[in-house]
Amino acid sequence: MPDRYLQVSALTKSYGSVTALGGVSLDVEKGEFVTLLGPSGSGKTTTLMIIAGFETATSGTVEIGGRSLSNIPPHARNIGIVFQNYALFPHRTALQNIMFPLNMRGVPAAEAERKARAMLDLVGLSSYGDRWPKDMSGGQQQRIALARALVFEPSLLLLDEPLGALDKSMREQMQIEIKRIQKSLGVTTIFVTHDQSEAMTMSDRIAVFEQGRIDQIGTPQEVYRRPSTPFVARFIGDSNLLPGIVLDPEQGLVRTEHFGLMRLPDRLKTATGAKVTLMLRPESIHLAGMMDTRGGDTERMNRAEVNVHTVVPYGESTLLIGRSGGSDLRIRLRAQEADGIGSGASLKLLWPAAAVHAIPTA
Amino acid sequence: MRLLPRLIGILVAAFIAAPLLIVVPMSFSTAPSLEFPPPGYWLGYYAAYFTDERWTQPTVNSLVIAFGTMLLTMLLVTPATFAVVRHRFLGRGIANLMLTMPMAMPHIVLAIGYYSYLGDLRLTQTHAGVIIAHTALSVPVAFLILSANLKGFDRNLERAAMSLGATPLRTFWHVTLPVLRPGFAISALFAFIQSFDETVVALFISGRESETLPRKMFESIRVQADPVISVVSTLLFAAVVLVVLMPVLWKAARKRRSPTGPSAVARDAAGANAGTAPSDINPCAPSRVQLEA
Repeated sequence: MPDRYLQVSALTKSYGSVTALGGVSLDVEKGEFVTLLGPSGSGKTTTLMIIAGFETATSGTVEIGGRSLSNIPPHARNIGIVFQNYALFPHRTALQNIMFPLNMRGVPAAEAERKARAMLDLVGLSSYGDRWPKDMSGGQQQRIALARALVFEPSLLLLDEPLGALDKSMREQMQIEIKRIQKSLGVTTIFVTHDQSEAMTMSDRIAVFEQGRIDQIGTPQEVYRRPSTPFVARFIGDSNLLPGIVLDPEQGLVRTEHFGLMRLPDRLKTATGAKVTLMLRPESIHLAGMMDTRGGDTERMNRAEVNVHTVVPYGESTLLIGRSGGSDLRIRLRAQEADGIGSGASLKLLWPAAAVHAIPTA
Repeated sequence: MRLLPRLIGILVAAFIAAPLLIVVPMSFSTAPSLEFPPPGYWLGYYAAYFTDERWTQPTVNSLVIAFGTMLLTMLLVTPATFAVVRHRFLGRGIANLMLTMPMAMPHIVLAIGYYSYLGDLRLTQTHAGVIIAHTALSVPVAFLILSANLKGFDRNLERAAMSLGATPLRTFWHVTLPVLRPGFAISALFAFIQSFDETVVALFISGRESETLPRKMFESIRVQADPVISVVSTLLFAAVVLVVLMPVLWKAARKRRSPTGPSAVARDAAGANAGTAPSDINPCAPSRVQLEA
């Protein structure tokens, strides 16, 4: 059993007849970086606000280090929060903003300033202490907000879509920056985002939210390679979802409507005749001629033939959408491989059994 | 093409400003009553205004009443605004309506109401009576200004403050209030001006003891057209110009003394600490930090 530092148990939240959270449970280890990922309205921000104490749960509990937060007001929770719109105090300079939590804790001014300056160094803005928030860029303001949320050594750091208001290049820079600072301080962090690539690059674990529930919690690799629901497969990365019926669970054989018999890497836990959804990532499909199958287990290969109707170049890779029977198949090839393939081309495709993941369908 | 609209603009401005400006030369006039153009210039009526008790007393009355009105208005409007803007409760719509209603009522109607009502309470002819009546008139404008400011206030600032360890009261004191300071200031200023300008209600309920400046001016012009009126008008005009220019001047001044060095920081921090740890305020701290740095 891992050391459960933050323990969220069976949280529910209803607004009248509307259910915002339908039983969310989550255990987070000390020092872990966990992302709550989901579309807007899926309950991830509500969960964050309950942890912070700005919303009260209809039922369920939140504990940090075994201590329930239920009757502790927000200001006594010792939780640092960074908001999407930074929420820097406009009447205080950057340094004064960072000193605020220390002022509130009665830390002597000189010591507060020393600590705040150390945080400014950590976020790489040593010379910006005397700037007013309005005179700083979005990225700089966000770093000040991060410094302010960390300077009082909070027991938990909450990040509410902190990169949402930044442009793309600044966002990537801040992803790396936040991760570096989080690692160096070892602070337990809950990060809320609807951006799956952010979740993939930054998290130790990802909790995928759908309609007020957590569909799956796992490492980025787990949720990407073995999504537990079709929603997770669709939400994270690009995917082909093919409905099928289990033909032989022992052999790992599934019959699909448009792509015939599909071989899976392992035996299936489901019974013969059970409905499953097969997930196949576009990048694990290869051109039949290009893949070296000599040494491989040809028995464990799946094959298909499609007619390409759409070609979308992405620079380093190209997305092809082909049709077979009545179903589309998305294929992502390296750009050089896709050279010369145009709309209307007929392609022979190949993918290993290991690339196919079965999701049980209720 | 550009000339015509510009000319019209200048004419309109002149049309609006002329009656305001005409009192200025008249205030320096030697004429025994209001007269334009002035036959000669002197400062005698200024001297009269500042020394004659019949003018200084109403001026003091007006300032006291306007200040009292401003205080009372803000004391009432601040909690009312927070309640109406931030909370959903039964009767919220009615509360909203009541707070703004005096604005739509003709002052003369209100004046008659206050005259009989305050008369029963024996508050006519007192400062308190005028302050109460003026407060009722100032509440709508102060409420509208403050609620517009409060609606635009980012609640995340308060959430941030609380997450950083500020109790609700300290959040209000250190974040909400300073951020809304311009809104409070303008709201209070308008309450002050509303009272200082008010004539109709003052005519009805301010007696000799609490006679306000507008009432004195009104009576003076009816009786003798005393040129001191133009002195008062000029001074009020100058005061308004000054107030209007103040934000501009303040901004310029603030730009010049932009916060530099740790002294500004430490001063502010000391202020923030004052609530809990007065012993932490150490005047030597800033210089020591500077030396360390």
